[in-house]
Amino acid sequence: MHTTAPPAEASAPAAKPERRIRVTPNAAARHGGVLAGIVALGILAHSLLTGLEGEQAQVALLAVVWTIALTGLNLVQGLGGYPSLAHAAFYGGGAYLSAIFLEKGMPMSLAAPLAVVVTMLGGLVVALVFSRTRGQYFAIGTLFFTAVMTLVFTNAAEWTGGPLGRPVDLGYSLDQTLVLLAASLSVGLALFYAMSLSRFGARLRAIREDEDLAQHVGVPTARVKLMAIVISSGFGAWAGVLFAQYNGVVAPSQFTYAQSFLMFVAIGLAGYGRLLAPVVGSAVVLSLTQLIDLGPGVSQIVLGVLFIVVTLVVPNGILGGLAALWRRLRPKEATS
Amino acid sequence: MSQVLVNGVFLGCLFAVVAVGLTLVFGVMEVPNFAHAGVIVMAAYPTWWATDAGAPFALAALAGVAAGGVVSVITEVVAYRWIIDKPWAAPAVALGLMLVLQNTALNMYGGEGRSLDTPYDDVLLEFAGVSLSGVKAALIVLAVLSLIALHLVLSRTSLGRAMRAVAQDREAAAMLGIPMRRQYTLAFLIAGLLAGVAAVAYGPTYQVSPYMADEVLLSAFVVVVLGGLGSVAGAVAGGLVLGVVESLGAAYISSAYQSAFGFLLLVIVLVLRPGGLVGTNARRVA
Repeated sequence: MHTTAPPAEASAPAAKPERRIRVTPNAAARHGGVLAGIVALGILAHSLLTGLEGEQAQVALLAVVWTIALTGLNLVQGLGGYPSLAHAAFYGGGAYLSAIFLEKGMPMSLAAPLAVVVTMLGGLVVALVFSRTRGQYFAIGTLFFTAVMTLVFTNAAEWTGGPLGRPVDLGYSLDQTLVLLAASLSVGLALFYAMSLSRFGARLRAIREDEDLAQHVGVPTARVKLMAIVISSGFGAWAGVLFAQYNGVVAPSQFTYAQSFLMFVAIGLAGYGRLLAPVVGSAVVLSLTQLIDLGPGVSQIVLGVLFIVVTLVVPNGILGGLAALWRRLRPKEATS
Repeated sequence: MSQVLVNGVFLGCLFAVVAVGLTLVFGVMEVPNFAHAGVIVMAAYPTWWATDAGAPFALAALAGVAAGGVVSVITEVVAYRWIIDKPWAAPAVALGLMLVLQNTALNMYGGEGRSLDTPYDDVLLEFAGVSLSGVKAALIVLAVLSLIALHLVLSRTSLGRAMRAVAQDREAAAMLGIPMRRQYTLAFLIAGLLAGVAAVAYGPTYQVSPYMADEVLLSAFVVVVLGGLGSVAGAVAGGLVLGVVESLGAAYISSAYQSAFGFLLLVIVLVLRPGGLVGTNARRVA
C-alpha cells in the first residue's frame, strides 16, 4: 500500500503531522500485540466458519464478509467522518462482476481481481462526483448511487439474472474460500491498522474534525477523500467476491440501500474509526437481524432505537464508550 | 408528448410536497430527514385503516394528515431535539428513526401492499387528447393548495417570519428572542402535515406498504439538492423539473430506470455546482 507514504506536502511545513509510528521497544510491542490479536481473530473466524453448520454457519459467513466490507467503510465513515451510503453498491458490484467474469470463462485468478478493480473504478467515479460535496449532500448522493445500482442489478437481466438473481460459478473450492475469508479479515484489519497510524489516517481524522481547517494547514483534502473512497470500495468489492463464492447465488435484494443503512449503523454503533468497529458492528447488527427472531420488523426497530440511543448518549459508539470507561476506572495509568 | 408532460407535472407536484417538508426541516434544523419516508408510511396506514373500517374518505384523509403531523412532531421531541448541537449525528439519528418507523408499520400492518380506495377512483379527465386520472388530478390540486397555504403561512404570519429568521441565522434569531424550541417543533409539524397530504394523495395510485415512500423520498432528496437545501421555492421548482425529466426519460428511454434519470440530473448538477442549483450559502426558507 503506497497510500501510507504520499509525497511530502508542498506547502505549510509548520503543519507537518507528527509521525505517529515510532519504533521504540514499547511501541513495537504494542503493534506486535495488536497484530497478534488480529491474527487470532482470523483463526477464530476460520474455526467458526468450518465448525458451525446450517443457519449458524450462514450467520458466521455474513459476519466475516461484513467485517471485511466494513473495514473499508471504517476508513471513509469512521476515520474521515463522511456518511457513505454507497457501500452496499460496491459490495454488490464485486459479487455480480465476479459472477459475470467467471461466466465469460475467465479463471478465478483473473476474475476476482478484475471485479475488484472495476468496482474500484466505479468507486473512483463516485468519489470524483461526490467527494466535492459535504455532509448531508454526500449522504444523499451516495444513497442515491446505491439505489440506482439496485435498479441496474434488478433490470439488466441479461447479465444479472433480474430480480431473482443469478447463480455464481465456483471459482474457489469451499476450503479455499473459507481460508481466504479468514485471511482477508486479518489482512484487512492489519491494513486498516497501518493506514490509521499513517499520515493518511491522520489526514482523514483531520478532515473529520474540521475540513476547512485541515485544508488551510495544507492537507490535500480532495485527494485524501478520493483515496479513502476508492480504497473502501475495494474492500467492499472483495467482500462481495467472497460472499458470492460462498453463497453460490447473488440477488439484488442482498445489495439494496437497506444494506447500506445497516452497514452505516454497524460502524456508528460500534465506534467510528476504531480498529475493532467492523467486528463488533457486524456482530451486533447481524445477531440482532439474523439470530434473534422477534417477529416481523422488531429486530430492526430495536436496532434503530439502539442506534439513536448510542448516537445520543455515547457518540463514540460502544467501543468508544468502553474505552472511556476503562480510562476512568484506571485513572493512574491513563496519564502516559 | 403533452401526456408525458402532464405525467411529469403530476410527479413534480408529488416530489415538491415531499421535498418542501424535507427542506423546511433542513433549513431550520440542518437534519437530512430520512425518517420522512417513515412519516409518510405512518400517515398512509391510518387512512387505509379508516377507509377499510368504513369511514368516509374525507374523514380518513384528515386522520392520515393529522397522523403525519403527530408522528413527525414525535420524531422531533424524542430524537432530533437532542442533536441540535451535534449536526454530525443527524444522518445517523435520521436513519435510526427511519428503521424504527418503517418496521413499526411492517409489524403493525404486515408487509403486503394495500390498495387505498377513493371516491374519485373512477373519474378520468380528458382534454385535447390528454387523459388524467381523478387520483392524479386530486394530487395536483392538493399539492398546489397545500403549497399555497405554506407560502401564506411563511410570508404573512409572525410564526412564518420567525421560522424564516431561524433558518437564516439561528444565533441571531435566538438573540432576538424567538423561541427556538417552538420553531423546531413547528417545522416538523408542517413537514409532517405535508407528508400526510402526500401520503393521502399518492397512496391510491401506488399501494400502501411499509416501503411505499422509499423511491419518492430519494427523488425528493434530489429535488432538495437541485433547489438548494433549505429553499422552499427551490424545492417547488426543482420538483417540477425533476418530475418532467423523469417522465420524459421513462417515456422515451426506459421506464425501468425512471429514478436513474433523476440520479443523472443530480450528478450533473453536483459536478457543475456542488452547492446545488440555487446558491444556499445564505440559507433561507421562503
